[in-house]
Amino acid sequence: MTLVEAARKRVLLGDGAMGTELQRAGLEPGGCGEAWNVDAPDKVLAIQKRYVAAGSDCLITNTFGGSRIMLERHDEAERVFAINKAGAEIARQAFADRAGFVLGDIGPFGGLLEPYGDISEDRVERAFSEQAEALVAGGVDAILIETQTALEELRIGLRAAKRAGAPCVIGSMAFDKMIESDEVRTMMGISPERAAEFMLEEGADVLALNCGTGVDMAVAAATVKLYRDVSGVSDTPIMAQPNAGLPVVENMKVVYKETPEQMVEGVPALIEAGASIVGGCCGSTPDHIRLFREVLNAYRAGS
Amino acid sequence: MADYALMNQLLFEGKHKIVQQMTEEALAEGLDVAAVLEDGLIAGMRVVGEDFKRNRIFVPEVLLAARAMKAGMAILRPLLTERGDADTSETIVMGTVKGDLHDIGKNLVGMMAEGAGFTIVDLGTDTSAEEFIAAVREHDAAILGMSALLTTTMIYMPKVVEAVKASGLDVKIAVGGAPVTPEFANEIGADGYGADAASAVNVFKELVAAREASRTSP
Repeated sequence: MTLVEAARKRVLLGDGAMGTELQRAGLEPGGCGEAWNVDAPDKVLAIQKRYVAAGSDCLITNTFGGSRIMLERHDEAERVFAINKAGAEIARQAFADRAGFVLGDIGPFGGLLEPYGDISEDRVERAFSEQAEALVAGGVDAILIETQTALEELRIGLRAAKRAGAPCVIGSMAFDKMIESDEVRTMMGISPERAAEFMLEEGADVLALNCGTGVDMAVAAATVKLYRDVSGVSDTPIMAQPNAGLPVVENMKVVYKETPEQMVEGVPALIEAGASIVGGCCGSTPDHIRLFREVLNAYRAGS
Repeated sequence: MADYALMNQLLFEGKHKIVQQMTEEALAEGLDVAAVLEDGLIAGMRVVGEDFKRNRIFVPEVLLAARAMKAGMAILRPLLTERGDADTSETIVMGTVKGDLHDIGKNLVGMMAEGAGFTIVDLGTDTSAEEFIAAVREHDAAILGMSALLTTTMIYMPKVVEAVKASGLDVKIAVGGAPVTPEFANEIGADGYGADAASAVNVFKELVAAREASRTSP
């Protein structure tokens, strides 16, 4: 069964954060976590196994910053193919003999495209294509173009993933809550409705949202609803990965104050709004995912 | 007569070529350089900042407006330097903190601050406390601005604050970035916090005023 077929049958559970877990495992702040796919694969595997044990149906590869443009900043560009292919293989290995979907992660290249910035579309196109090809070579079930704020960059990612032969392509936007209303927009001013229309036009198989400032479970549910209003007839699955609340600092350590219990309360509303793949972004842990699993199971038994 | 309202509007719309042309024309009419800067360019950027803060416009519009501002400044800067005016603007040393390679937000703050008349010394990304301090000293900066996008790198900010305080430099410290909160800024002993690029410029102005006040008082 493909990811899309599975998501139409039942609600699938994603995973939680990777970056914060890597740091807990000893990655220094600002270090290149993606390089661990090659240098410390056991540590990445251990994190993803915890998510599988917590009940994840989908694992997102540890390749968020795995494009050449991002890896260049860490002097790791030469290993771009190996890092991404290994990322896909580790996630598959984490499922062991269980069925599960490996979502190959492509995050933003970390700058601004011309004419707003100084990076050409060609360069981003090459970087995303190369990353997508490595993820497909590693055997991913889908490619997730994540934390996107600009339609131009999103389009490059979606097209690169399709061209590389990804079995399923997911576009995921990062929205921020507006100051004077409950509406959300990306940093570049894109509304959920516009994003959904655009992704459908570009042939995305799943519409997703992740991360974002001030986007708690309730705001995420409202955004999913807007996606659903646009995608309604097409029956395209929707995926949501909200943050575990806003980060706060305690004793010079950053903590996310939304407990798994608080966060999980919002899960039924997310599903009712139309999400059929649910996971967590920044600050979420295997504990969050374990509770999500309980709620999803109870929800399915009740509906 | 130069139509400053039209110039402001064209700057807002990011029409950099026309803004540059109008700047030249205003000077050709014999208008004062400082007045063209303030009423023609800075006034336009102020509206951009306010609208950005209120989510009426977004990053692309700000970047295009900033480019128009720059186009006008390219004409004015040599004249200001010649007159010695440039030296009177306060300097802000800014950078993204050590371990953090994200610079979109920091660059936006830099552009807006430049648009408000500040001189910017941009140290780029992955900036250490030592680099911040050396630059503040070299450029006699009034403000040190720090940015971080990651929760894991924002905890480097208190280290910079401590190092600056230990150095005895008379510089105000402002912080910002997606995960940074006013509470965090307060806790680490920063002098100011800006939630967005426009607010940051207001904070810079307040900090410059506060620094002046503390210098003139006995």
